Amino acid sequence: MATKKASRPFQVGDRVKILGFVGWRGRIVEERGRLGPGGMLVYRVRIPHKPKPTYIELCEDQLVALPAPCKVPPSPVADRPAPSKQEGE
Amino acid sequence: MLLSAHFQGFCRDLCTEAAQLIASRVRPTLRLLIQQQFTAHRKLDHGNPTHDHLKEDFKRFGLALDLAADPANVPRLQALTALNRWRNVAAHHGTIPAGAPPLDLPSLRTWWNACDGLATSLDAILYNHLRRVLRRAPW
Repeated sequence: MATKKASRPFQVGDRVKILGFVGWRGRIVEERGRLGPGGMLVYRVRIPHKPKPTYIELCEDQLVALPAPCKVPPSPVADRPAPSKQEGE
Repeated sequence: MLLSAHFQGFCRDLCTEAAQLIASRVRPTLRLLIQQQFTAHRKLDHGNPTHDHLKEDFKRFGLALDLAADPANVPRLQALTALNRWRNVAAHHGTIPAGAPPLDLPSLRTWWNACDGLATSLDAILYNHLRRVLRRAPW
């Protein structure tokens, strides 16, 4: 019998901002499990501070998902077929 | 290596759980700062779960951790040292140190039981400490 998976609000690699701290943004690098009070999910977040990044473990209720950054559109020349290689080169 | 990693994982999880519990008791504006202090330069994030690393990490809770205070833990700590030594030999392709205990099934079972005992002891020590500090059962 199939079991229903509990929904996970965030995944490793997601970009998040931290509630209550303006400008604090980071990326989830590890899901630590339900180690928070009341079984709340805890995530390890990498904050890109300079010169060294900071790692903090935060509960799910402290995080807000950020939209993924826009990807650079593919180059128009990318669609062109690659020139066939000649044998003997 | 797997046994050492499991014990490290347990200690790290225990540290995180206690930190989150304490952080949840302060006002929201201070919560992040408390969480940051508990995570910064944590030895268990990078190093082996040695007695010294455990002492240093759990000192953040205002706890002078002395696992050797329980006589039952003395041989367990010796087993943990041997386990970590063998773990380093395996992980770094090192040479087998002179006088090291043999790497056989009875040794592995001893280390396994030692990790079990230390984990139980560590959990009990932190539970009692947090209950005293928080004035309620932590978990």
